[in-house]
Amino acid sequence: MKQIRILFYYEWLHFSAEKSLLLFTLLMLACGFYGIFSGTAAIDTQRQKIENLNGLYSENIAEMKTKYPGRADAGDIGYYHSAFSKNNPGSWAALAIGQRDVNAPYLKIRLLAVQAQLYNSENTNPNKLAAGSFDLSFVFVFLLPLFIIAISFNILSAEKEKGTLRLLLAQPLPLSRILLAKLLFRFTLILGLILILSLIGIVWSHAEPDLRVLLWLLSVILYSIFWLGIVCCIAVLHKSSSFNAITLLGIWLLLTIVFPVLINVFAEVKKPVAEGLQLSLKQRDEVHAGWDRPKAETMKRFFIRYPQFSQTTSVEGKFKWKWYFAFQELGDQSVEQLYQDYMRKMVERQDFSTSLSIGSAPAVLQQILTAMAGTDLKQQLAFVDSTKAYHDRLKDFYYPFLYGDKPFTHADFDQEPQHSFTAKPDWQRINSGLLVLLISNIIVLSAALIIYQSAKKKIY
Amino acid sequence: MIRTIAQKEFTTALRDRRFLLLGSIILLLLLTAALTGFSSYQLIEGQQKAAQESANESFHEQPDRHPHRVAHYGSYAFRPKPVLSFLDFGLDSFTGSMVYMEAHQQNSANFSQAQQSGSLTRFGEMTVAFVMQWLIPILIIFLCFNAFTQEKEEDMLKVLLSQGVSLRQVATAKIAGYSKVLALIVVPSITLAAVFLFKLNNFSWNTDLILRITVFIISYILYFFIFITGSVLISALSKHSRTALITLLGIWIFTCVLLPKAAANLGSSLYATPSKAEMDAEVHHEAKEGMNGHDPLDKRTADFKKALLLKYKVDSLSQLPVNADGLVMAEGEAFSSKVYQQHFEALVATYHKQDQIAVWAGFIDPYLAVRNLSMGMAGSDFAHYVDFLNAAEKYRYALAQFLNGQQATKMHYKDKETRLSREVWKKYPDFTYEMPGISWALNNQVIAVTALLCWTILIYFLSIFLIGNLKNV
Repeated sequence: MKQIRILFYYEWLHFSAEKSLLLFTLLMLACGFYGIFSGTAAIDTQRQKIENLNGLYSENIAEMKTKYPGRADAGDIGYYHSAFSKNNPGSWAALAIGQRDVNAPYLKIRLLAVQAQLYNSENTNPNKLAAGSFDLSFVFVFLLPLFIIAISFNILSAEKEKGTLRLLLAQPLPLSRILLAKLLFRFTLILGLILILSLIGIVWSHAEPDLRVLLWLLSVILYSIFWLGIVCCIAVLHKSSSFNAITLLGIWLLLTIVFPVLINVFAEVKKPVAEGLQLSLKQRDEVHAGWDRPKAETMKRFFIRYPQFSQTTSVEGKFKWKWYFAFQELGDQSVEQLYQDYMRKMVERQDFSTSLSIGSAPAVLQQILTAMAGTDLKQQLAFVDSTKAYHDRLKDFYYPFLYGDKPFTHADFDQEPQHSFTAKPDWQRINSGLLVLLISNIIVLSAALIIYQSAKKKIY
Repeated sequence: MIRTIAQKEFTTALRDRRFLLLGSIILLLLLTAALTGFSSYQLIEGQQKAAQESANESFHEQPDRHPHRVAHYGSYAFRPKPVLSFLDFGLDSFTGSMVYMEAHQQNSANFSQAQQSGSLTRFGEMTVAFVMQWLIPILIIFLCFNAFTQEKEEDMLKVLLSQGVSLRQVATAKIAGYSKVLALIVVPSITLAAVFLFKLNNFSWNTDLILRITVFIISYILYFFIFITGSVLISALSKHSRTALITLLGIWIFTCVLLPKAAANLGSSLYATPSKAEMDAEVHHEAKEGMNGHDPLDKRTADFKKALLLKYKVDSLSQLPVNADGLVMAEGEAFSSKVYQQHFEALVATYHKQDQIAVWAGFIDPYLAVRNLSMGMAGSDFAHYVDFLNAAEKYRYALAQFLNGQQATKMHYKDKETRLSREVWKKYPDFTYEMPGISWALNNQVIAVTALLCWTILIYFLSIFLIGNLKNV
């Protein structure tokens, strides 16, 4: 123990004297801080945009009240008035933005057929989307391994190249202890970095301090041990520093870039999703065919779903909103199956790529972190689903006016249902991801031990 | 002598098993990328084409309808995939591919690939551009990091110099030798890509395509040259091979991973964009109340109607020889489209400002310069996307106004029941989109081109100068 302490102390002396190591640490800290700042700023902007919707909503209602000063036809309101469904970021979203920047943080909803309103995009700069978010999850998933490689690729080779390894081994010290002390020193440094960045990130972004703090730290620490293990595997081969550096960077490239990219291509080819386009085209045709069909037929089909309104007054003759909204409804009904398929296929594709990605620790960590932050595709789909349910609530609210031939008054606006969705963590994905990380660690560490044993002789 | 040194580097590289392994992996990835790009191009292009045809057919096959019904039925614009984009997807996975075009309303482009995928898609895409921008520099670094350091470590440089060559000549020779090695990987890939391209373009070439691919290839050749020369320079300035390697890898991380992401994120935190809901509300408000708060819609309409009565010298709208409904609607569409266009242009201008950081950063990061230029040539950059959106809006506007015209001339005032013959829409021309030519595309990338050229010239002369004046060899 004392030996380890001495070695530890000398590692510290060495570290503080080596300018490049200090530089790497500072650079890593700077990237981490920028990631925290930039992620928080991006999510704050989203929150602000969602907040601003309230103003737009009241302005719209004020406009409706001026336009229809007295009692209004609920159909006019249903057509001209719009409400919003809001996809509030979870409190952890700023730490792992995931797919939140790609998808709309809110949807503008009118009483019209909902299927034409669920897939609208938000104003976003595609160049920014393609570059990706610079958030804390990026710093951990991509940069932390590079940092680990940078401070430990020459953990043994540097001593060898400087000629100090022989001196060190001349002491009554086994190589394993030297290596352990060196690794422990680096691990402490990495641990400190992870703790500082994570805690500052959590505080700065106002992430709710719940079980996720532990899970977040656990997963990132496991991930760092994984990379230390990889470095060990290469270091104990006793090759030159140059060999170590290029091999480790190669492994980094393979695991963090090439492998996920290939999985992605494979998933896209294997599980194509074309329902979105089909659904849009079909829904439009169905809705507009309503204009050309006999009114009685439309109403008859509508009453199958809504028998409680079958006593409503006739829609024949002059244009009546209740006929119009009836065929909007039928348009949605006609693509219900396609909608279900569309949602299911997207989930299937994501699950497929998740199951393929167990070989890439970076991809696994990315999925754990976005699952924690509730920023992955599944939460977006849950939001779309909740928006659709919100549209149903709007219908339940407006239809009694419309089909009960009841006038809509200004006071009724206060009763209009509101929508709010907040992304939740996906515990199951977190747990399975952690398990995969744990197994990867066991594999890598055993590999390091085996290599260490078999390559022991090559030390000189 | 120069030729001999170059030949020596070439032969040594080919004898190095590690280099051969790395080289073949990258060659394999390059071929995979070309192949996946090719097949996914065919898939997407096929889907888009089929969807566009089916949308056109639906439009033409409409029954007899009131023209305003047809205006609301609308049509779809699907973005045709530019042929060269199979080499560089650029922003295509992040931009919507479908615009619904209807009266009174400008819709967003929806159903981008990224919107329908999990976060794994953010790791990157397997394209030829990805391999050339990211991975080949790594290969170059591996090839060149010990260009000088090894000679120094083995004390061979003095021997070499005693043969009567100058340091400058050694540097030139090494750059030439490494370029030749790299060509072994790049040339077959480019040839294959050209074959694919030829096939995708229906076995024909046109000048625009040839020019685009030429600039595309030249930009990558310059990019590789910058990395080769830069690596040789760093190697010459370093004492040890490992220092050279670590420095080069650090530079790679900075240029390819850190800076591009930081630049894009910085841009969007500096310049805020309005949300779509805010923009739509603004457009709606200005269309209704007038652009400067005066001339509200009601007044504009009343004035317009008054002017109509005056022009035709009649007392009431029903006496007009044309249908006032259609004319009023056309007037409203013209005004609201103008308002929308202003807001849209302001939005694009904000994006442009956000992107300028990454564009100008091309002068410190050749990766950014080549990335932008490559997207521009492939037709998958932001400018091409906006051009498509503008084309869709132009078509939407023309269609809406055509139908308003039909209503004005063929329908009676206040008539909501009469239906026009289907022949009218049957003949209406389809939405077609032609990508702008190379001069337009290059014009958008002037800064990237300049940055790349500056890099090439500067790094070459800097290396020759610094290496030529090297002491303590």
